[in-house]
Amino acid sequence: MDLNSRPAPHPQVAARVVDGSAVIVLADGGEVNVLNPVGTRIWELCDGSRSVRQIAEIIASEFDVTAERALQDTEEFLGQLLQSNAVELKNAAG
Amino acid sequence: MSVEGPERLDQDPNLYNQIVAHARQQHRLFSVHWELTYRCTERCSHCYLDVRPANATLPEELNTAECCRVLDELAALGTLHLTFSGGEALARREFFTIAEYAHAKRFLLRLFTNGILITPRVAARIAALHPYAVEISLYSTHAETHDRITRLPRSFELTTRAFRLLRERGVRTVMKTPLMRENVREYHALKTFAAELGAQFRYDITITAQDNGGLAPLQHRMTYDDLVWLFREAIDPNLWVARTVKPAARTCAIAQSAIVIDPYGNVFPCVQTRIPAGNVRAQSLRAIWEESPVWQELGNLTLDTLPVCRSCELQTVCVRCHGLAYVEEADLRAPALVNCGEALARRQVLVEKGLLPADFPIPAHLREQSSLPIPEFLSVFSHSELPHG
Repeated sequence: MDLNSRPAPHPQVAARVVDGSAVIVLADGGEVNVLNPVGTRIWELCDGSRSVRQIAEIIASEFDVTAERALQDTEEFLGQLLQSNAVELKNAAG
Repeated sequence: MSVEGPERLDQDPNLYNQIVAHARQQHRLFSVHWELTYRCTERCSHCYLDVRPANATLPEELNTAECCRVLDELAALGTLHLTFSGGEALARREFFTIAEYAHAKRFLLRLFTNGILITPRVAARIAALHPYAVEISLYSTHAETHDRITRLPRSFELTTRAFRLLRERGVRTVMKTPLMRENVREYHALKTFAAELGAQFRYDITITAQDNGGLAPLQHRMTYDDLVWLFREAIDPNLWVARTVKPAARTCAIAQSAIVIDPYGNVFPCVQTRIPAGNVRAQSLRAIWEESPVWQELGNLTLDTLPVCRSCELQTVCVRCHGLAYVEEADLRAPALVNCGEALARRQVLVEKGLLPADFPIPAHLREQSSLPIPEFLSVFSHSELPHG
């Protein structure tokens, strides 16, 4: 994953944060995902304006976790969201 | 991580249901049914709305800017489910401006439509909204019957084309069929036809009076014999036998997490229960949702507060609608006699199948009803004798 790319919600996604948990519906397939608090925070940061690296830095600053671990987990988690078409990546230039 | 790492929790299939249940308990506005216009391209004989021609000018409808402001409010309130309905929602010229704004706000969209206006270009724009489903009204597998109900020539052709156009573009469709005298015996054929069109099939058994009090639709309501026939064919009797109801339970989810907005900004608890809770032009949605006394009043309608229903022997086979009681009996707490008729028909089928004893009682209020002059709107009873119990 290009750490400078900027994740944004996929057009098929409907989502709300309910009681601190992001509820993400993949409308095309009808799949519902519910995220835990850290996943929810990453989701909230995926608005197309921040790079993967910047999101990981925010996670590291807000949660009790090292920068390396935050980056690794963020990248892995975004990879899952990418694979299920919950997010898409905008390239650094775009 | 020393805190729990990012994770999808959807391994628990009940988690989403828990969130919905929690939203209801917390009185969170989670779901909105929005009638964008009462203009319509069809003139269905059973329609509960006083619809207007598709080209009518209705300046009193919420304008696009007002609609977008309401969408902002709904998103801020955490509303997820949003259904656009009508009339015919696509008859509204600015439909896609509003719907695309809603899509950008990440609502889970549904569209209720008759499909008449769905051309290839419109279907592509709908597909780009990624709706969870487009629910299309279809009344018969026969063009002649369908067109007679819609009072629009070629409507069958155009509506079935809409299913195909949407399916070709990967849009999930639902065939939605109110069952009436005219089409109930097509139940199996309609199911098969839906499968052929790649659509889910959903039927509704209750035709209601018009919101303006008009009773004309009720002549299309199924007879008691129709209901019995349908239940013999369509229901799983074991599910009904196993069903339980609790005295303190609500009989439906009204007023808990959903509202209806009409084209003029009026907010109601549901499509059937047109008790005004406020108007989005006069108040914020948050104020309506948090301050209107309507929600509390309706939320208190548990089974044990309903003077007749609470002791009715047919509770477990009855799907009571407060709105129908309100419209047809003018009393929210009265039995909705059309639902009583449906419950009687289920009882009969369960008795026939040996799942209830033959002498399973018919409630007193229905025994008495059968000896009274029957108003036209109770036509469910008027074409058949009540079963002897």
